[in-house]
Amino acid sequence: MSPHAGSLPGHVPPARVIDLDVYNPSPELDDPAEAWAKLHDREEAILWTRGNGGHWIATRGSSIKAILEDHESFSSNVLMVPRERGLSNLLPTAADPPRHRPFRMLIQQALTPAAVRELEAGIREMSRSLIAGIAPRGRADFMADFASQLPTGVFLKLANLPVSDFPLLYGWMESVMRPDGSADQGELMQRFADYLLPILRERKANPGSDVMSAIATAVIDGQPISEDDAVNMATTLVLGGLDTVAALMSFAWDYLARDPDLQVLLVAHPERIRDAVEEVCRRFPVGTNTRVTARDTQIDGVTIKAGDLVTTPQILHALDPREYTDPMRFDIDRQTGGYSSFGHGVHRCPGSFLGKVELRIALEEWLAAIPSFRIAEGARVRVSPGVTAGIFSLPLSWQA
Amino acid sequence: MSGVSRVRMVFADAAGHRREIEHAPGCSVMEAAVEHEIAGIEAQCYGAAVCGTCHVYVEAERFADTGSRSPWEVEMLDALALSRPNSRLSCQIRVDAAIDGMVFTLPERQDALA
Repeated sequence: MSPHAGSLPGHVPPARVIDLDVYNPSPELDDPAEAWAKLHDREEAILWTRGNGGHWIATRGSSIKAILEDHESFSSNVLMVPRERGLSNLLPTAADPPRHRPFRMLIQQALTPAAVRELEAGIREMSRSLIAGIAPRGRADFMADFASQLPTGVFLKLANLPVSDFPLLYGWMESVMRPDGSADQGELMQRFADYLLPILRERKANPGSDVMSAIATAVIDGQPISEDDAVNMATTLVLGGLDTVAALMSFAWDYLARDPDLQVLLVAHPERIRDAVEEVCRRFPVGTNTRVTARDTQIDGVTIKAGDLVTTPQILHALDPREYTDPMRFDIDRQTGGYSSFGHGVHRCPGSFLGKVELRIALEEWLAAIPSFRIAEGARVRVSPGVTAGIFSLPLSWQA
Repeated sequence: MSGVSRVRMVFADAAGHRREIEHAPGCSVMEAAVEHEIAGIEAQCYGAAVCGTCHVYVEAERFADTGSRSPWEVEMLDALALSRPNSRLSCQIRVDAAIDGMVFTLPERQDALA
């Protein structure tokens, strides 16, 4: 039985009830993908789990997409299960339209395709320098030595935060995203606020061209942004920006290390790296979203009642055989698109273009320097589940 | 690589300059345009349908080939000064065989919704 088991509400058909912790669906497996895929053996497109206080799980690409696209029926005011961990203050993530709009416009300005193109040369430079440091060694822990460094470097540069603060921020972010029950979420949010507020005040007084300055000096509906709103925006940026790209990279390199034929193909045809990036995004989504039902809504023949929580694990779309032929298989010839890995609707990830550019550049530079690599002998590779999942230790080796 | 069929799309700017691209199906027209660096598709929100800066006019007689507009997309388009009956947000059009060869005309400017 999962933690926080709730009693079964009267409108939930007993035949739809399972016991599953969406943040840890298979504690006994190193890779939860098979446990997720098993849910597709069932006919239903939405199930109820008693885990985490009791909530719906949309299990098909179609139901996941329908829920995320319908912000009028499914509010973002609760972003995690159980309800008391809902992160309901995050901006723009936990706000519904129309309140959502000005905050969303603010955050995306730093992440437009035009803004990201300006960052490309710097990302390539950073990638090259990291790879130059590890290539001669013939082995590396991919996460510690590369994947946690590159996106973090990009993020800290965008936000103009000192690199020395990274371990602190990363630790808090991990406690929120991969909760082990030991930390009180309110206390964690307060730590972010205590850290970010003095920075935002300083940027308001002396604004630069970084995204924290943009938040600090923003005008929302004709008024200067409140300090609370600024802190909630900045916290979202840290939570959403710090490890999602690293997690995506960890899955990409884990897969590629086990597929020498694909390594050969991508080295010979670097133009196919874009297709590989798309397939990484399709096959290895890292997140599970949550919505709170705003009005009674029919899905797949059941009533989702106002107030019910619904989660949409992105990987269930990726592994849905009704959406993709042989969905577990990694196939760069797949004509992907439409996946749920960055969400759908008004909250669709504003950093997805940046994330894909980072992944592409990192692959291009890595394969140019280290064309052939594998999982280090004897290494046990484990997917850490959570609100965002990832492989946090990935020992690789190659001929130096 | 063979086996991947490409979809052709033409982007025509307000001055009449045309650029043809080919892209694999599956993603949105906006994503294909951004990848090919079509000037005039700013796509500030990159697919959330909240900014209005991937606005295009589609061929009126092939409008139905671009799929249906959600009430939300219609609401966004109604808020755009340069909106016309054949307007779409290109982030909401899927690249597939139905739009092969379609001409997307760009508005004279992309106004981000405030």
